[in-house]
Amino acid sequence: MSDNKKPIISAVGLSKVFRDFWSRPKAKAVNDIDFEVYEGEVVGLLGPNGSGKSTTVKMILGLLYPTAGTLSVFGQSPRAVETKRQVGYLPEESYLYKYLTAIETLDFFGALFNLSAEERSSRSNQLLEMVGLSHARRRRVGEFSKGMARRIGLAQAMINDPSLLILDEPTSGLDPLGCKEVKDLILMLKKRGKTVLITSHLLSDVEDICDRVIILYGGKIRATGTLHELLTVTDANRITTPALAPAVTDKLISILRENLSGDEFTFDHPRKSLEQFFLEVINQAKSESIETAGVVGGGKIAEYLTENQTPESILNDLTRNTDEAAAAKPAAAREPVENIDEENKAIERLTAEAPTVEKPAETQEKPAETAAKAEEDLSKANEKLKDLLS
Amino acid sequence: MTAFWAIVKLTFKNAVRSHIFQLLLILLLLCVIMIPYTISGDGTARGYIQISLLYSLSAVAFVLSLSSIWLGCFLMTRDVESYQLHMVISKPISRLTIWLGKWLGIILINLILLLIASSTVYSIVLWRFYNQPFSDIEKSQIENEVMVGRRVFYPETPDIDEWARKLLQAKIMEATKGGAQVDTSPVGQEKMLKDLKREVLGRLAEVPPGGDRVWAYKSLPVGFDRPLYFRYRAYVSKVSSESQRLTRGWWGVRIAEPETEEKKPDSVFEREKLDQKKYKYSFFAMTPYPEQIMSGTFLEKDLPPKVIDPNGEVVIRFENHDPMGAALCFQKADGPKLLIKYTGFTQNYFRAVLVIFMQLVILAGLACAAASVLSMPTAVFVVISYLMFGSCATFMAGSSFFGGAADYVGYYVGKVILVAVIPMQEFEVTHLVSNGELIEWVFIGKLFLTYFVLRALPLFLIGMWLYWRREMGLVIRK
Repeated sequence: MSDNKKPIISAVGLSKVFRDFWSRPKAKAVNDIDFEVYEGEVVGLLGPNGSGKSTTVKMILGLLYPTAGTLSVFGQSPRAVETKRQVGYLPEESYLYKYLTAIETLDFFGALFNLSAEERSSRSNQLLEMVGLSHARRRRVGEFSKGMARRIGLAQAMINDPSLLILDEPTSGLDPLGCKEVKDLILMLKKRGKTVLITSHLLSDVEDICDRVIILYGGKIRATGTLHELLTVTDANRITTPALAPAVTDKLISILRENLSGDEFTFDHPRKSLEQFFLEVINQAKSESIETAGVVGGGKIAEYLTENQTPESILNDLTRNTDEAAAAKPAAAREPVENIDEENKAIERLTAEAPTVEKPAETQEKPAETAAKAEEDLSKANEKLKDLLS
Repeated sequence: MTAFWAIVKLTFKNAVRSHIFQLLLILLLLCVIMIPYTISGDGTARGYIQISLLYSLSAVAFVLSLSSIWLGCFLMTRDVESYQLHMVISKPISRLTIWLGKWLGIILINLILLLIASSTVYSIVLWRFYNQPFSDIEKSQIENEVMVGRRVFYPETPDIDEWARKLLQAKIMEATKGGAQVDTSPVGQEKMLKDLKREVLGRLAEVPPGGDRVWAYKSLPVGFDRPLYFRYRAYVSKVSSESQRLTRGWWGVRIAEPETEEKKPDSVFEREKLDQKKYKYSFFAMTPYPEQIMSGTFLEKDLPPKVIDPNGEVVIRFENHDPMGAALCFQKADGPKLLIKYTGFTQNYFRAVLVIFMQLVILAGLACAAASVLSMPTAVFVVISYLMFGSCATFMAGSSFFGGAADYVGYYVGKVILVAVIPMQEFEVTHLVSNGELIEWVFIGKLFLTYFVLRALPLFLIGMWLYWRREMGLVIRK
């Protein structure tokens, strides 16, 4: 990634020492770290409490000044006003003005970007719809629940269609549906070539959306790299199949036992993630028109963030692969293997070498084509968006 | 500018929606409506209107001054301490714009409150003037002495240093002639001169029993055709509010009258010379006999326009006829002042409101400057201390007698403090408007230049600079 793309954030020898009233060093929050975040990347900044994540983010935003080293954002000082024109920021907690209504909040932050009144109004309405707060547009932010405050916070971070989005615990306080929407949104932004820096304690969220992570501890970078590099266990294999008949299972286990000792392999049923199960239940309830008094999930991406594409198509694009996979798995699970011959054939296919790769190869071709087409469409959309926003 | 106005609007909305604005408005309206009902005045119609005007407007100025300081400190620090400012400064807006936007927002809040409160005071005063059962004489007195803008003329003061030096020389000569010893050392001479200065000032202020005193006023408009007023306050024995009583005095005024009616020469220059020669100056008593005077209170007398001589000069004389043989004292600040009508009440009143507004602008700016880098209570403490320093420094630097080293230290410390500190009492104009004294544009301009431009603006710039360089991320959230 670093070969082709320019760094959006670049830190070299970055340090931050907090001092007491008499200027004596009190704590070294960030200790001589180097890192870069490239255009179009979704990077997770991870670490336990006190590891230096928030200090690093505050330095990127110009709220704290480095004690040593250099830090540039879009090639400029983080304190430069022009730098901030391309940055969107969602803080860890709601630091919004409690006496403003949702629409006034978005209008205020839009005005800070010198957007015209019409543009502010249009974007605010689209964003409120996107985060599912259209019904609460006239309610004061101080009356919002944590989840609603998070949503309006996310909306304000997007008001300027930022090139760099800094999200501090973006899914904190959101229900699983909201988490999924936020993650979908981040993936959509990534597709549009936006750069996203996320700090989160919810590692599953980071895993779902980040290309790369930087793990901090004690103010130093302890690990950095793509999730594939860091998480792939190269000295083990995993095979997932439809549910097998007992005889086939026994056969398979015996094959494994011939080659491996008993404690070197495990054999069980795969589990859905709780998030996946929850979403299925909610989607089922939605299809049955069960009403809720809480946030009405928006999910409709603001038009100015998508331009040429319809918001629905983007969400469909984003969720197609996961939805199809999710839909396919329960389908397989729902269909019991009735015929032992069929099951045996399946085991044979499983154990044979060549056919196992043929079918997935066929199914992978079409998504590759559609992905390329979608990429082309999105690049056109981006070009148009740049023209409109410049 | 969109971003700047967004900050102004936000500051304004904050005050209105957190009910600060409403609370202040209710407090102000209570002050201006209740005060006229709780005062009794000096028993005269003029005194009643005068005091209700003075107290109401002073209350408005006081409440709004405190609110400017409090709002300035509160609105600047709350954003920082609640981290709301993190959201704002991570957007493309300079900190200077944020500072100025907040300052203007606070100014606008105070301006609206000031306009509402001062208009209410104005309306109440007019309503009382037209609806109270005042006699025509009382109404005329109020119109001429309170609800008016009169230009003030102070009497010419002699050179006190020169007068004291002359007295010293005379004393030395007298002592030398009498063969007495005189301390000619510089320290001895300085001490004698100091004592003589005190004596001169005493002589200027005091009218001995049976003695008289003359005050001369210059640069009055020649040909003025409306009555003049002179305002004075006399104290019996010493300048103190205690032991004041009825006394007697006889006021006289010098009038220039042409000696003869001869044919005037054609030449303008010759005629002027002749005019000067042909006037005879004589004092006329204002009353046929010494009048009764209540000491310790301000009194006014009207004079006919003919007291202004062709040179634009007015000379007034006072004879002390105290029945108990006590001396009468006139403070330099009390005049007697000579007043001539220059403008109406409305214009003078709103000039006073303008001065109060300027005061609020400065106080709001000082509060914002202090809160740029300090926490809320510390910022309030610093601003209040600053204002108290200004008040004390004026007193210290105003000292004219030095008894010892401490007096000198106090004097010079006061002078140094006054270079940087704004004595806010200079903006106190409510007594002028209630006395019907004109608030001159020159005075307003002087306040603006001396205190706003030269003293306040540099402090505001320091505040902005501190705000600009402050690491907002270091603040611990409250």
